[in-house]
Amino acid sequence: MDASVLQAFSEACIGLHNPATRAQAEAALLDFRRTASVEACVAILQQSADEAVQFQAMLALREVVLGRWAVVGPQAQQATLQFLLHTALAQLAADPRRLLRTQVTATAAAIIKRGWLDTSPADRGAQLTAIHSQASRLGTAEARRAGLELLAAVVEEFSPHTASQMGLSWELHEQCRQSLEEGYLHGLLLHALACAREAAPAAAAGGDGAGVCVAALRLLSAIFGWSFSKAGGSGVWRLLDSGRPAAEAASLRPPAAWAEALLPPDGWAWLAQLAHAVCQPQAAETPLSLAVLRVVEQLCGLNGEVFGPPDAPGGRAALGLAAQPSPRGAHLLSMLRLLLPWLAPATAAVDVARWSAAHAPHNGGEERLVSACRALLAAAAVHRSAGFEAASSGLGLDPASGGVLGLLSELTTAVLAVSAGAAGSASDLEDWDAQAAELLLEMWVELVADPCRGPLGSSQAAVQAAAAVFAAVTEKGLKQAAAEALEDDEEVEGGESLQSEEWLAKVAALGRASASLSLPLLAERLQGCLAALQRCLQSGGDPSVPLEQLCWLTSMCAHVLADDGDGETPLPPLPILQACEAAAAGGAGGGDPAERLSSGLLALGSHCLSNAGQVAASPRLMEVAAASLARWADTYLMLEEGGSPALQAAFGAGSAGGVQAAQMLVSLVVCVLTSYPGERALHDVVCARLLSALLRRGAGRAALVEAPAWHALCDAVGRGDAGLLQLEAKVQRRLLQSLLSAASEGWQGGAGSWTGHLLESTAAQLRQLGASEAAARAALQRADGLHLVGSLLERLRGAVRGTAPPTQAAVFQQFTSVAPALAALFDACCTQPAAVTLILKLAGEVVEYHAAYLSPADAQALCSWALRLLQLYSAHNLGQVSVSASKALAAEALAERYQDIRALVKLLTKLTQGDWQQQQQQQQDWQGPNGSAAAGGGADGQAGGEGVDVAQIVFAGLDIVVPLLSLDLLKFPKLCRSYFALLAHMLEVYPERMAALPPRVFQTLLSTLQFGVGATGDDEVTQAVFEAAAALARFHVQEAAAEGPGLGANNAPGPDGTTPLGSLLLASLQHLVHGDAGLEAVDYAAEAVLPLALADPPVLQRAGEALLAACADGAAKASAQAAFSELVAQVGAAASLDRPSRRAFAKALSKAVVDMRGAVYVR
Amino acid sequence: MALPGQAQDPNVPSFKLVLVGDGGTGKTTFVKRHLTGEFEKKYEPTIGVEVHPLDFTTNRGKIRFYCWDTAGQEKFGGLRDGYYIHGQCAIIMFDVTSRLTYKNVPTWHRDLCRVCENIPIVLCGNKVDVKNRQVKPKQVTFHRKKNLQYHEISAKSNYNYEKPFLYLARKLVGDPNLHFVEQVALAPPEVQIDLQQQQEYEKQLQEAANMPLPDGDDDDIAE
Repeated sequence: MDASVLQAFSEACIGLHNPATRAQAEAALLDFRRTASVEACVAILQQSADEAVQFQAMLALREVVLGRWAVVGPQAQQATLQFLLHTALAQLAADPRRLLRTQVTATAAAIIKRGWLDTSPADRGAQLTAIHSQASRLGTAEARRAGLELLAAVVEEFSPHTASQMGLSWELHEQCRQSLEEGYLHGLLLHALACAREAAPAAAAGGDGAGVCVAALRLLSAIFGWSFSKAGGSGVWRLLDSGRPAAEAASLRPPAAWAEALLPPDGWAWLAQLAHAVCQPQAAETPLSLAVLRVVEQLCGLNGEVFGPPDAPGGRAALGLAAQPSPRGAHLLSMLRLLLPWLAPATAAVDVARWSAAHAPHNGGEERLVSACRALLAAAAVHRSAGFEAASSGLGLDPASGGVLGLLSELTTAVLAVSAGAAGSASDLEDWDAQAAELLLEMWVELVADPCRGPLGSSQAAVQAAAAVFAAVTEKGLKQAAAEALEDDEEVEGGESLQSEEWLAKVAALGRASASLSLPLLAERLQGCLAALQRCLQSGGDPSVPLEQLCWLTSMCAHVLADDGDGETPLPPLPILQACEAAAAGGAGGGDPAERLSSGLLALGSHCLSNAGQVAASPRLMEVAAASLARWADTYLMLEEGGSPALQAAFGAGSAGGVQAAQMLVSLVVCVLTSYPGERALHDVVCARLLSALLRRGAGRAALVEAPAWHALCDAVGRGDAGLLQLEAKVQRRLLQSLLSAASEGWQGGAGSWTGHLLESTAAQLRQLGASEAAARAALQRADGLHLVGSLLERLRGAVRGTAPPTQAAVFQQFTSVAPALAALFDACCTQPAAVTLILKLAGEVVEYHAAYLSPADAQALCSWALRLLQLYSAHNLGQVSVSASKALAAEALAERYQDIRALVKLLTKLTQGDWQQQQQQQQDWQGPNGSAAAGGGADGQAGGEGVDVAQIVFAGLDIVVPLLSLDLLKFPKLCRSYFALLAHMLEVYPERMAALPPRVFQTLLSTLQFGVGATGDDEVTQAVFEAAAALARFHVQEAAAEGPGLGANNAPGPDGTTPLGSLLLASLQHLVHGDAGLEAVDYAAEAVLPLALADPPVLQRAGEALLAACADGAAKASAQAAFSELVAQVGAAASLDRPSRRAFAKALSKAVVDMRGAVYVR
Repeated sequence: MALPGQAQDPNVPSFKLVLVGDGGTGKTTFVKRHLTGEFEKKYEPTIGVEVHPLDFTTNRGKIRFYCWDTAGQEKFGGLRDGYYIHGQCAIIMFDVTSRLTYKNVPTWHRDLCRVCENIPIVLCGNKVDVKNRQVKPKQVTFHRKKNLQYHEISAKSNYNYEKPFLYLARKLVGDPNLHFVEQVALAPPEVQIDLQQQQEYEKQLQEAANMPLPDGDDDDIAE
């Protein structure tokens, strides 16, 4: 090889790390990968001594061989593989630097896989055996280790999770996987087991210098990590199982035939001996100890048919045979025997970990404990509490002290105690104790609750153990809350709630599983905390700690008691009801546990109410209490069915307690809105969550109407109370929305007059503000003008969003009364983008929520109003960004434009989606049975002034929106989606009008379509874009067939002779072949490509030729060429766009795209 | 690590951080969050690699990560694992709203470990702010199998932004009590790098800074 090549290559490898030369070096290396031969790569590997250079040469070799597989040819493939095997087994085996060896190994494995399906089954086995025998021939321990590493790399390469990208179809990867699994994996398992077992005694004594044992264990791990095709017995199970995270966690589901290897009669004695030798409390962490721990963790997750069919209860006894532990139980027993020495006694185990973490960070004692916890979690998901309890006697643990579960409860408590001690310290982030605590908590959830089937019928021992853990978690939580109360750190990042929500749900599951013990505990603690707060206030002390503890506890109580409704009708959780039943049956002195805890929560609510605005009810406590009570009320308040008798009697529909609670809570809402100025989050909680929870059920609504606080609230809103106007505008929207929703089914009294009253002052103020253009301008000039307008608009939006059938007429009437004023305001506030956007949003919502109810006249009025807004928008030239504006101003303008345009597109979309029911009905009656061109004909017919012409408004809107769009704006995904959805709809329904758009608008529209075709990986957008393109081209083709003008001048060829539709066809084909769109995209595209090709047939031919010209000659190209000719023929045959032609074309396109991709991608 | 040719303050320990993960998972947005404090709302795929210096001030002084933000998409791949060499720590990013990006984590991890043995790695589930999450926290188990640190992050809401860096810094410095003492600030420009590179950085910064943060959503309800 030319020395200069090596020189240049070496320089590029160094240059990669220098910012000044990186780009150049990258280009040189990429160029080498593209052009070099196998020999050149090998030469560099052999001639250079620099590791980094050899590394890049190795990667280049991999890319050359795999990327140009066919070109390289079978001989060179084999030679390369032999070279790599030799390098890995002989040359590099003893090299302490692993970098190159792992790359050589990986490349060899990839080459084996790449050629696997071309090799005969006999040769495949020989290839794998050759690795082992070649290593044995070399005779050294290093070579044996390298052989095992190679096999592990092969397993990883064939496993779909870790397969390298080779540019092969998924099917080929899958065939390789299946072939290895069915023919060779079991053999590899036996080989790995034999090697590990053989090397273990020496390794246990510290004599595994070459790492044979580690390599064998890693090979085992790789095999255990395999994703078996028959996991769980059937495909259906596998599918279902994927939703069960814990099962996925560490589940190992090998076929039944592996039972002999995986369930040895000696219960993995060799592994246990090795584990205990290398994982001594004081022993250092080594690759060997890590590999052992990993294998143990995986074995703990062993599950599935390997255990054989479940034992029929009493089957053996019926035959007169002695009871024998099932294979499943025996396996758990042997795994627990392996784990327990690290875990028992619990305090000692935790001490070792603590010592190791503090004094010998590389010792790994803490890692061992965490690993054992992981193993326990995996086992818990398989065996559940019943399995663990059954194992107690086999382990010689006393069932009276709780057996295994008692021990695990002790361990969890001890770990929690450590992490509670460390609370608030800077290192609480990734500490072993936090990790162990999380794992153990999850283990408990797995033990006591099945995520699919709910609570397990746990034994009393399990319940007690779970309750002890729950109590420890509560202790820890309270302790942590106390510590945090005194911290000054303001480390709020705004997302904590996401995490704590998950965590709370986990703990709540545990609390529910032990509800009979945990609910009374919570009730007692809640009462205690409240008393402590009151004492503290009386003595004049600092209430921070009890306040913070109350917050924590309240939130926990709510999570244990109730689920997050999230759109569903929430019901009391089953385990809670079971505990209530048990308490009732047992005649427990404490009464119904859920009722008692609910009363505790309500007592907290009363406390907050009577101390509102004072220290004793801090905004934070108020917020947590309001959110918790909302959650509770959503589930328990005024319950019409379900729930225990005690709960029904206490808070159910018609109960005095329920009415009292509802009235107290609505007072709380009013009190929060008036006594906590500026607390937006708190206002949000009461308006959006608490109020809507109170109004959820009919009985609740009836109770509220009786409450003086409710009337006070409605009155304040109705007369436009100054205090309420000070609330954040969005809060006002939510308040109105919740209030309006009260007047739904079951509402007594006149919904209309009540709605009118609620909106009275809002409407009056808006009318006043927009009485004339001058008045509107004057209003906006006042200091608080914009805030006032914003508040009023948001209220109106809230009312519109909260519209229900009984209130619709009244809301719409109020809206109609302010519509002219809104237009005046819109006109006046052209310099206030926030108000412009709000009015546009309001318009969209009125259309969305009211269209279905409107009479033709009202619909007409609404549409005219919307059109007026659009005209005003256009007249003020809003949305245009001045080129002369400074950069910062331009950026700001772009943001505003985005907001406006989204609101506009939304309004237009709502207009098109509007359920103009009566309108359409009338249209149809009017057109008679032959009015088939409903959309187009109907629209034209209405030009005379009768009825609504939605299309006209939307076109006016598009006329404004389209020129404002830039490709930069379309990169915002939400806008992109809604714009193309609108475009697809309009082109589908009104193609002839789209065709008649002025050329300037039409060109922009086409350019956005071109952008859409190629730009995003968003399926929704791709579909909409192709639908739009299909509609446009179909119209053109059909018109042309009927000798109409079609798109006419709008489709005139450009300077290069390509028509706009032709360019669209080119872009579509480019995207299909070169982009990574899935096959669904090809289906969508087929609908568009056929009419596009019919519109401009030469372009299809040209595009195909251009694409094929770039391919290297070969079988792939020939097949692509044939597929393409077939495609062209299909276009010729498709004289019309009927369904059979479209279907045939779609098939041909799919084949052509697949073949062309195959030809275009050499990789 | 003193990378050849890279001018830097010898008193500031610096580390090569490799950032990998599928295309569109938010790697570049995540890095740019540090550089500019802005959230990048539109998507432009990274081509090859972009290297950004990210500085953090700890109780033990300043530390710098040279963050190699690699292309996630195959077609923009550049040298792919060729960039990983001499990596001292890594972040593997996936998108909790896309199951596929999580399914590909094992391959990213394997490729990484083949080049950089025993380096601290953080697995990050990004976009946890998004409502229709496809990968639930309980389904994220890979880090347990491979003993990685896992953090849920949201480049959009800044949630847990510093956590991955803090973990890596602690592991690299070998001090479990290390903590950041300042709010993350704009990274200072690298000294003495060539002008073209500098201009490129400035252009990117400018582009990022100019990107608006439109938030026209009426947040959670009925949107």
